Amino acid sequence: MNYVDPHIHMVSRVTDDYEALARMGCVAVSEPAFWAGFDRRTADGFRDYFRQITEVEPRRAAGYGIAHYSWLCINAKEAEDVKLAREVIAAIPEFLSASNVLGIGEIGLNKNTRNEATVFLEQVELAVRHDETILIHTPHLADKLRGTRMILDMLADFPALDRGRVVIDHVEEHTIRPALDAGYWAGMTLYPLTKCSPERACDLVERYGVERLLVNSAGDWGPSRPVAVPDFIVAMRARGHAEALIERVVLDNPLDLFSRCRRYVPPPRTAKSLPRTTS
Amino acid sequence: MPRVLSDQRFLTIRSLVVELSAALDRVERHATEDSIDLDQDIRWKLLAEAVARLAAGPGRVDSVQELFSDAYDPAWRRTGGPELSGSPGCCGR
Repeated sequence: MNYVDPHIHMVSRVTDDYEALARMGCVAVSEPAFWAGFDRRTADGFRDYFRQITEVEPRRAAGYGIAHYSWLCINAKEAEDVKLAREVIAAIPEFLSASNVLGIGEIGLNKNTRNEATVFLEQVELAVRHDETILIHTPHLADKLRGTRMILDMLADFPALDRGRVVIDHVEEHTIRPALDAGYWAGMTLYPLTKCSPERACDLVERYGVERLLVNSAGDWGPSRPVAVPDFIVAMRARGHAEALIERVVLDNPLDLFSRCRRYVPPPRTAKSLPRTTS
Repeated sequence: MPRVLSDQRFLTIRSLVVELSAALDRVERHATEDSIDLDQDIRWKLLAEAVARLAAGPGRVDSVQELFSDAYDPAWRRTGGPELSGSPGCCGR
């Protein structure tokens, strides 16, 4: 089955992983800007990173027939230095015209601090000002419920924001409902220990349906599995779910989301260019 | 053929319960040498409460997830949260 991984950090994966993704049926990936495992010291450091995910990774992916999209931001883990964060935010528009950029992300909260919230709000403002889609990271473990609710509170301050162009990512059982009920997309991340497992992601599909639901690997430099989306496909099949329903989650939905970016060009390996089905 | 409680899936769930049981026994067995007073350890209390919730019936996973979560205060912005930043009136605010 062809599929899309809408959240994977290929800068931290080896080229063999691109080959594995291609063999599994991956036709496209999208790569949000994230923490590199260390705090970068300058805005130019981020500029180099933005070049990597707008120029280098698309070329690497194309070698395996995979379309590569990206999202730009300063992530929550590096948002404590508000001065540096503002320099990075000022640099982001330099890269927004790159053809593979889908929007602003993954912005969000990590430890739910005041500075993180300040930088989050300023990046939402940036996205609205430039008419960009938004991908939002929600915190891990004990911080997740509180951080997700704080994010939803802050987003509520933007009545003009099109909820159908915003993803609340890394949802789990206790955070998926408020995200969907507010009209946002919800992403389920399949991780070996934290976040969601393939079986629990199937449970959430059965409980909440497939509307505005995404599944991703968030593969990065930590313990993660870049081919986790195919694991979800296998788990859904084992429960007897129809191929069309599975394809809706792993292919149609991410492409529907991507199509809400004004620069979006469909992946070469799929002709699907879907009409907007949600507001 | 049952898909969610097939014989194979029973073995998977059985394995998870056995692993959990062994892990809890292991913690108790090593608590003294690890200098952990389980009666005072918040992590142990959380695990014990989680196990109790497993026996409570449907809604277990939501209940356990909330147990392991920090409390959310809807008034967080009035009680020390961030001030809204950026330009007044920006983005329809």
